[in-house]
Amino acid sequence: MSERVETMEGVATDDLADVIDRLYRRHHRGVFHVALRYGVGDEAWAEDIVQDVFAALMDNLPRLADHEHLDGWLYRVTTNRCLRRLKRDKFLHRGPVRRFLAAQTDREDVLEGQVFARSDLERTRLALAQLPPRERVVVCMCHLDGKSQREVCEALSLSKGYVSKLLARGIARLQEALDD
Amino acid sequence: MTDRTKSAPASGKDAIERLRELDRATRRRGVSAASGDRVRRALRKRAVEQPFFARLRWWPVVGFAAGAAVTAMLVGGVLGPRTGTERDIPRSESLASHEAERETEPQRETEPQRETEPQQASKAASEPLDDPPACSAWQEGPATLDADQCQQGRGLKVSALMPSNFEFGTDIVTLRSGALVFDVQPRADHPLHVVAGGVDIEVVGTRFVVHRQAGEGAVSVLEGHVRVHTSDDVVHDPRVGERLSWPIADPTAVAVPSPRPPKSRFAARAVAGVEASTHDADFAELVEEVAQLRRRGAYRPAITLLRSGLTRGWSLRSRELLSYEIGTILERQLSDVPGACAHWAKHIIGFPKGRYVAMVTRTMGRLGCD
Repeated sequence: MSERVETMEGVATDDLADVIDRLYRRHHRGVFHVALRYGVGDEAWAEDIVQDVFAALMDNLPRLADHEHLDGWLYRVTTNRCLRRLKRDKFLHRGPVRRFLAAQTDREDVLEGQVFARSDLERTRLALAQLPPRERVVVCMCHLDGKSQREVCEALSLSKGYVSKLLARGIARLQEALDD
Repeated sequence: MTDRTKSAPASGKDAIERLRELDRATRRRGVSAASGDRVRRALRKRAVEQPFFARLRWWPVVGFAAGAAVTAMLVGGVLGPRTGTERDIPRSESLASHEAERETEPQRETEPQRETEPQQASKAASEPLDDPPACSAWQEGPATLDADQCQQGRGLKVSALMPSNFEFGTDIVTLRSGALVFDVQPRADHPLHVVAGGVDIEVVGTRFVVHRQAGEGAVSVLEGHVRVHTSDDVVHDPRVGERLSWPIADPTAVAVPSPRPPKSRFAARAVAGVEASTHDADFAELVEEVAQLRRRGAYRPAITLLRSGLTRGWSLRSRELLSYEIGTILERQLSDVPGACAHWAKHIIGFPKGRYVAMVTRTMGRLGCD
């Protein structure tokens, strides 16, 4: 922890590029994992998110006075970036937009699917991919990261009732997809 | 929907469990070396360019402030003659100008801050980056880098991608665990050697990542090329973007039973293949045991173990590596200069055309050996 404080205090004197590089090497695995989860295995998608998150960190570095909560900040920003990106992807996948943009929005899911050799994992991956963005994020935050509904509300700026509804609906959808 | 939500709690556990299993599988997939390098470069580029964008970010604020100042002046100018007397006119002007001053004052206050950003940018762009600490600081023994960097002269930069345990010597780096990025400037006359679990990576100038974790070692080449020498004298030449991996035997694993004597030439060839892989596993096992002993500070038993390896029928290259390890421990960990000198002399006699001869000769010169 002392090393982290040292890192953050070094922003004023050290070169920004070096500080960001150091922070990237320290935290990129956690950010990548969260992004890869929401991108349901799409590495290029996750890579874009990682780059976005650390670019945001670079912009906010002087304002991040709370050195001890960089992990929390990164988690929150990563989750929100993923959610925003998922919503954008959903918009791009709508019929008229997809017809308009044609080839650009056709995502090749086959390659990502091949990564999970086991059929049951692949099935779960597809079920997760079918969840609407908010449900996907809320289900993962609550059941994979162990966040309470209150924490989810704060991170995503949603009401508690809505989070509760999203969670129940998401689990039900998942189960339905897996039962089929 | 009602039915779905009713059935969810009972069977939802299954869905959550499967989701967790998927997450565990996802967690095992790390960032690929090429991808990580791409992001790091993009971030570095952005960090250098950032102050330009920072300047752009201030433009709306400056524009708004200037607009407000002009509006205030205009409003002051219009209202002034109607509401005030002739004596008030200069007062309203002064108020307007004072207001304009007030508008600009915060700007002046923030001016130095804004000026520092471009200054930092030009500084970052024109001046060399702050040098990370010298790697030679770790020459005394095993060390751990945690998301830090070290540099040796201008020719070698080592960055850790995760907490990494390694040992740094003259032209040789031994990775015990973790993942290190090497940025090596061209050095044809004295190549760098990176040792990771029974594999020696020879580098003459390139960028690459070496991993050693979870029973596997791997090298990913980002630029240039490296030569990877395995313990059975096979040389691999991975290209840019390629990842070459090798297993590292788990010392706790059950030993492979020795094969029966061959009955035919075909069987003999097959057994030779098995023996080669067993040799590989044995060698890796010995290296791992030595690493464990070194971590515990048991340097003498480590040397005894390494010496026992010298008498086994391994390849010349493997034995040379073991001999080099013995000399390194004597010199650095035990500070036994006479012992190290004696060993280095034997090393040069035993491996006159070996890869480490130049390094050993330099070391002997440095230690003042006869």
